[in-house]
Amino acid sequence: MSQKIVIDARGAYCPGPLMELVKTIKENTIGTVVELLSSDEGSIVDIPKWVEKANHKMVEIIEDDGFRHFVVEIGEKKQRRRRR
Amino acid sequence: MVNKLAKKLKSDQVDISIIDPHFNHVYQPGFLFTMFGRDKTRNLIKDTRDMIPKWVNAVEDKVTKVDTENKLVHTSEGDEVKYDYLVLATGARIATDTAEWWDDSIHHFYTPPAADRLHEALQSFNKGRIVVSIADLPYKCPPAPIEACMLMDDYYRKNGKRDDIEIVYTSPINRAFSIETTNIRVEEYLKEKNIEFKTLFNADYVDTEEKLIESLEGEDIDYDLLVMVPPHRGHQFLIDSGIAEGKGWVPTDKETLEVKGQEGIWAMGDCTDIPTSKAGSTAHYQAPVIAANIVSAIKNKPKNKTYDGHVQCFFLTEFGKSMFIDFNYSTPPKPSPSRKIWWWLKRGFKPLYFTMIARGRV
Repeated sequence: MSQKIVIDARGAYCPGPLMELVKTIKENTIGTVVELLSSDEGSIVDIPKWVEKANHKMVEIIEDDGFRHFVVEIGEKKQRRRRR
Repeated sequence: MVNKLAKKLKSDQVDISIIDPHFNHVYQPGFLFTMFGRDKTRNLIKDTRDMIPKWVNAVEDKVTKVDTENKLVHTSEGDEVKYDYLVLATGARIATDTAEWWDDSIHHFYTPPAADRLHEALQSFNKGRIVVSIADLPYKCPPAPIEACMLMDDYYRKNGKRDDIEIVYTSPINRAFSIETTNIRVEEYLKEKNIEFKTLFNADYVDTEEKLIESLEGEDIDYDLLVMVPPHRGHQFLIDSGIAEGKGWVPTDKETLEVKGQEGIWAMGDCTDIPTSKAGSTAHYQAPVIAANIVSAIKNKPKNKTYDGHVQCFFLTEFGKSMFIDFNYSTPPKPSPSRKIWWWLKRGFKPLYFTMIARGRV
């Protein structure tokens, strides 16, 4: 079973929750599941957009009392081109 | 902070000490002018000791540890300063050492010498792509990198080089500027000025030999001149003292400004983890709250002053025009269109700052 990391970013405003997710995903490997708790309204737009762009998988978004759970599975990090 | 406290208390009632490694009080908004040769670094720095009452004990030394149990501040010279109440106003450390790829070819404008060096680079740059990017969040003055882009646009238009210079701004989030109401105007200005902006671009690695910046999202951008907001961190002694963790930001109650889990310690300005801008006006509006609460604590009265998240910023869009934003935790800014009046207030703000604001007169 994959490791699951929970980040409680409730009370933090944009860009706090997204940055917490970015930092956690950067520090972990493919297959790891990260659950972000956010009460920031902007997260419902920002988080799925970033997850898609960065090639990860949005497993589910769960509505809760005044906040949301964003469950993300880390995907394969995109290849870099390293050229001039 | 010291001036606000000293106004409320008398020298025969209390001892106030301020500990600072150099007492250089730097007017940091001025870096946006020195980087374009519109001000001199020497005009931005004054000795803090000239701005505080003589009876305040000014200790020129570096803090190495806070012993919160015994209420002692230890310094690098081996001194101990006893306190009953402590205010942490240690600011943010420019931490280029935390990015293993950072070298001197990457420019920034967050210290006096860096802004001067960037001025030379901008002056001699004639053709190619300038990328303005962000190494890590949070950083001081969220508008600053966008202001830098818009001033570069004006600078190169005025000297006739703009047609040969591309300006690209990268934002780690889903829009150019974090606050939505302000972002609407900011993105309009960026488009109007032909400044390309890339969103959801979190810089992950810079290959300074190949002149390539790579993002965590798998994108990359070539550059000819890279101007990057450097990583910011809290000070190591805060971690060593058990006050802060991780990146060193002090866990602070966003309203009372008391340090979480500590007795008799407050934090203000850039060193805290509170969810608002790291900006000078933040500290300005926090200082009276802390001063009033310390006085209440001394007098055994309830500490009932709170900080509402008030921040004010000028937001420069060109040489001669600026927006102005004013907000708090519950009310987002409603920025006016960019106007000359805000520009002149920004230009005239430095003398006002040194004579009135830093001295606690307003």
